[in-house]
Amino acid sequence: MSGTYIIQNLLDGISLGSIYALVAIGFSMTYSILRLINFAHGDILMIGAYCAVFIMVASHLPLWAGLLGAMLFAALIGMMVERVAFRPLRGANEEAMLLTSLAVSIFIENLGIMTVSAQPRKFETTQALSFMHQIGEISVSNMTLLIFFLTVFLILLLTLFVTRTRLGVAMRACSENLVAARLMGIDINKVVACAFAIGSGMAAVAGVMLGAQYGRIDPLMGFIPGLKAFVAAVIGGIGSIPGAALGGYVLGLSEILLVALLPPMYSGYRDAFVFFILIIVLLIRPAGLLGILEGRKV
Amino acid sequence: MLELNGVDIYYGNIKAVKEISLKVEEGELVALLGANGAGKTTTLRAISGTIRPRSGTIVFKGLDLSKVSAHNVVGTGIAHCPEGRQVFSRLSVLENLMLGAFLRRDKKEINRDLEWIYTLFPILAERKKQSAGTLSGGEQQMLAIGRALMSRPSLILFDEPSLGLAPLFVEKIFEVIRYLKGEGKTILLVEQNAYHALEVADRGYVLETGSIKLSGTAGELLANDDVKKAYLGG
Repeated sequence: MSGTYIIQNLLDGISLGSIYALVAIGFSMTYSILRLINFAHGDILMIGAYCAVFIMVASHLPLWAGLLGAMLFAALIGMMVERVAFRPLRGANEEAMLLTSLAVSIFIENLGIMTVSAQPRKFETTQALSFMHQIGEISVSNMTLLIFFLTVFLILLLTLFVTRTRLGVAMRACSENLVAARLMGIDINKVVACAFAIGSGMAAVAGVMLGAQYGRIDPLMGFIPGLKAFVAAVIGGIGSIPGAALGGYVLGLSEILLVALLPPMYSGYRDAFVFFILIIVLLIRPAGLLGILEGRKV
Repeated sequence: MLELNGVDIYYGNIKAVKEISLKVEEGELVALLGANGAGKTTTLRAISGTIRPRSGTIVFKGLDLSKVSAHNVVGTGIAHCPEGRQVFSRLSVLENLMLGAFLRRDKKEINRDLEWIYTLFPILAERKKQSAGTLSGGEQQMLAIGRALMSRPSLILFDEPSLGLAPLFVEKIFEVIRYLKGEGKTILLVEQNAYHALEVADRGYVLETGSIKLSGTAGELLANDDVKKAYLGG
């Protein structure tokens, strides 16, 4: 086992971690405001991927156009899902919201199968993306670089948004105390819609990147990444945006490294590792890596 | 300025407030007194719209508040300084104060009010970059008051501002309330510390198990035997 082997796997882990981070952030945002565990979040990722493919194939537009279109469309769908499925449940208990999100997830997946067929579809991108840079024995594709820098860029943008803008600060206020936020004159519905839009847009980026990386997409492609992003959000400390990003990278890196370092016969247990990591983290830090233990609000 | 008429408030099937009617005139400081669970906080919540009365009317400056959604109430000129302070502990002191001015657009005036609050509570200026959760209880109460004032309210609802504070902070808080009254602000003050409240108030109402048992000027209430026995310790 050489150093280059480990570095190569670290790079793969960072690329996977970026995708988990993108999805986990949206997951964490809506959880922090509504205490909603949104299992439909992963399906938004799938919608984004399909939207990008349709834009790129139908109009022969480049990847960036597909990416932008996917973000906008997913944001719109995210806001619509919130309006239709979750807003009527404002004030309902967490279990009701969780079950609703499962229903939304099943609905979106089946709608996908009915409209775009269950057959996987090719996701073709330019050759330039798969170009490999060789540094000694290590190779890095443009794809990996794009995923990483795009993710970092989006996280920075989001950080600026929540610290520097009026709406962003209002969002953080809502995630802490909804009643007090209303007393300030903050319209909760607007903030929630905005959180859904941002989270869905980021999930769409993850969807496009997943599609571009594996070269194919299908209506159920969002399920596993959605579940793992949930795990990433919990590892990082659910409700915390930096926590979700950190959790994504911790999970992506450890998943890849465990597969790489353990004997090949165990690589089939890849998804089990994810939950193993979760259990270990929660045993040591029950609130997650960056989480704050808070009393249940009455 | 503010008038509650026959207000009934329920939590589920439990009637928390029964046909309350009360009035606050412009420039007045009215105290709402009563034991734990008498319905004081509930009444304030109904005014700021975070719960809805089942019947009765709440009229502020001729406006029927039952038709105004909670996040718009502050825009009508009512600031609610809630029980237990409810500051945003993960946000900085400055962010908390600026959220108080969330609906305002007059940047210059906002900055002027911010300076005013910093002179009122110099400790907040010192700690403006710190997260509110790191402040002491008394400092958090000052922040909560400052945050409420940042909306430039014409009516301020104070819910137990002295609760759980050290005597020194209690004095400071009441000093500020007296000062705000001097500035011409209208105040509805909920307090368990009846003696302190009646000292600064013009008038008062005494709530008992959800309805008004007594009302009168502060002097009358201070001299009332029932009030003395129940709330003034003698």
